[in-house]
Amino acid sequence: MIEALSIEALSSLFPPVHPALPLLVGGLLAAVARGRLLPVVAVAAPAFGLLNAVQLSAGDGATWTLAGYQLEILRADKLSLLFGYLFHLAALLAAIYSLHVRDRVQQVTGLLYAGSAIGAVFAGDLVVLFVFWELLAVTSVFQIWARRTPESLRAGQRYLLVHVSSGLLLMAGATLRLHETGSLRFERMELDGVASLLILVAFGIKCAFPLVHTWLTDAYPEGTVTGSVFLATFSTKTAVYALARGFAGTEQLIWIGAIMTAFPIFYAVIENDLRRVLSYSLINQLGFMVVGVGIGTELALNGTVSHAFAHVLYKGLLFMSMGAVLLRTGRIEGSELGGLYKTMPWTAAFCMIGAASISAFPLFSGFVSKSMILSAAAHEGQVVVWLTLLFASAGVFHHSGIKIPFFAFYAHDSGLRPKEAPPNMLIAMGASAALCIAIGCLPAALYRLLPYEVLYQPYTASHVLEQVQLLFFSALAFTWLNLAGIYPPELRSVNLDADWVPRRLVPAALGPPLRGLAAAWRIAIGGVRSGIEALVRRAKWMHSPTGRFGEPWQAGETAFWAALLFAALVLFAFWERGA
Amino acid sequence: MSRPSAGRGKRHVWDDPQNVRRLIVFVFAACAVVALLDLAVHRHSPFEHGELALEGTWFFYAWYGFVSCVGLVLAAKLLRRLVMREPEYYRPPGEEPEAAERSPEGDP
Repeated sequence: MIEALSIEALSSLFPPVHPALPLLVGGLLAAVARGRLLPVVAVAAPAFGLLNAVQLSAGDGATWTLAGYQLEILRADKLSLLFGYLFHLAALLAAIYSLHVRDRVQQVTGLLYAGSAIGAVFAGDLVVLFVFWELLAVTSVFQIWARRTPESLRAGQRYLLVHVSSGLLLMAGATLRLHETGSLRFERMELDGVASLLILVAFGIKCAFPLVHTWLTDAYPEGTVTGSVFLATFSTKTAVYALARGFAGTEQLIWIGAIMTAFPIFYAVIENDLRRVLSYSLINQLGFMVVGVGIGTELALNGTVSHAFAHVLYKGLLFMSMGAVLLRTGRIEGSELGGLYKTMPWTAAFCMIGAASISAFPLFSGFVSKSMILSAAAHEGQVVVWLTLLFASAGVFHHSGIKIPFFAFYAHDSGLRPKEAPPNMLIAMGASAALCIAIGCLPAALYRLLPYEVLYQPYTASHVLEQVQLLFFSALAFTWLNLAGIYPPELRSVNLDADWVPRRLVPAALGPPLRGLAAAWRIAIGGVRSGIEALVRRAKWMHSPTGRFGEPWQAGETAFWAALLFAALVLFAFWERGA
Repeated sequence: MSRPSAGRGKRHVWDDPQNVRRLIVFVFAACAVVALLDLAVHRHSPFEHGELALEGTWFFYAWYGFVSCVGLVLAAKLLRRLVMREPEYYRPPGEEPEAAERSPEGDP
């Protein structure tokens, strides 16, 4: 498998293996490891995986022959390597964050989930991608089910249904593509037929495109405290990678992405569950990346990839801080929280660093990545898209940058005085926060890893001033709306979204005819069943001691029936010969 | 829910209304300063062919940020009238609220 790997890599610390293996094997080891070893395996697997991944270099590859087919199980280039580093880093941070968890299901599936995402980004063909795509679905759902509540069970079932369907569409598209082009290689595709359309829809479902986005806002807030940190990292960013690999420069994605940046922020403003607010804001951030893929220029793709990198760290940090609040208070609704900075100052501070990063404040990570996508849109003369992205940038500061820390840690004093988050959570949040600041202050290190040469300069006086003006006046709007009593209060509620259609409208519309059909089926099945039962009863009776075949027969009667049967046979034989 | 006495009696920074007022004044003052900087800093448009002349006008980013957020909140309030339902809307009949939602998970 690894003979094709570079000689430089072979000469380093240890022979490199396929980058998905450390985490997948780690997951299997975690399944059998004894109690005390479990946390060691959970942290060692991504750490070892990261050491392994940095030994790979662009151009490395490996194939595996299975039943006569050559599968490209490893393709390393700058795009896959960057996502590979990112996923290892995120898995390591999430593993540290989860160290206190004593639930083998979460530890095992967390590692397998991360390994699947890494396998997917290094997949060189559509079959290998499909395998890891489905593994992602199956392993990730346990991060939801492990909460072990009726709602998490139902949300997990809906999540799994959507994600497995996405995989099946990918398989169907890959099969058609093989038929059309004779190749299964995963490379840039034109949107010119059913095959590529099916593949795009498969990617789009996992990327939470509008109208198929509700699996995300439905399931992520139902995940466990630590599970949602894993979930926020891998699935959607694997989809962003797949879009960047397969559909760069597909113009339709510009508009899809622009819609994704805008519509979720309206929901985020009125949503009470703060992890659901983060889920809506996650779609908003994915929108920026999808726009970058759609524009498809070197600057735009660099922007998408760097934004995915920054996003995983700050979004993970925000989910971590809300997870710490949920762990310590048992609450996550904005209406129930407030004033937690008094006893959770570190968590509050880390949350605000995540908030500053997602808001793209200068010196924080979002600033050096998101601005590339906006600049790329402007360079292409996309006025409406640029104005939408600018609106979404102001909006994300409003709901993620201010609302999340404000309602959780400040606002009114809820009277809750929880303990500070456990040390392992603080370490993971601290490391994530440090990375957010490091990327924001020293973007050159990240820029060097990007697929194309970076000529972009984020820190110009003009750009810094524009961004600061946008954000400060967004803050002014928040302040004024609160002082004037216009800002909508946090209310315990459910907000209907596109999933109302499959969860309420379809069952309501199809309910009566389906119930009628079910009743008719029950009657038909009941009739057949009672007929068979009557036949069996009759046969049993016939063979019982009092039945016709069970009762003792007289010798003469037996001889009569035997002779009659013999005569019938003889007649039949003659008739048969005559015929 | 852990409600230890630590921090209950202590007066914290935002318990003092004076500090809250100071923060609000700071926000207003900072906005005034960054807006006025528009007059001092020469801005470069990202639109290379001048497709959006409005972007080059004074205070564009300031008013766009403010109007966006006010518009966002007003529109969201309208959306709430349309889509908000009681928290039990999707809960199957007869099912109680989950205990896990009301009590913190076991501390490590």
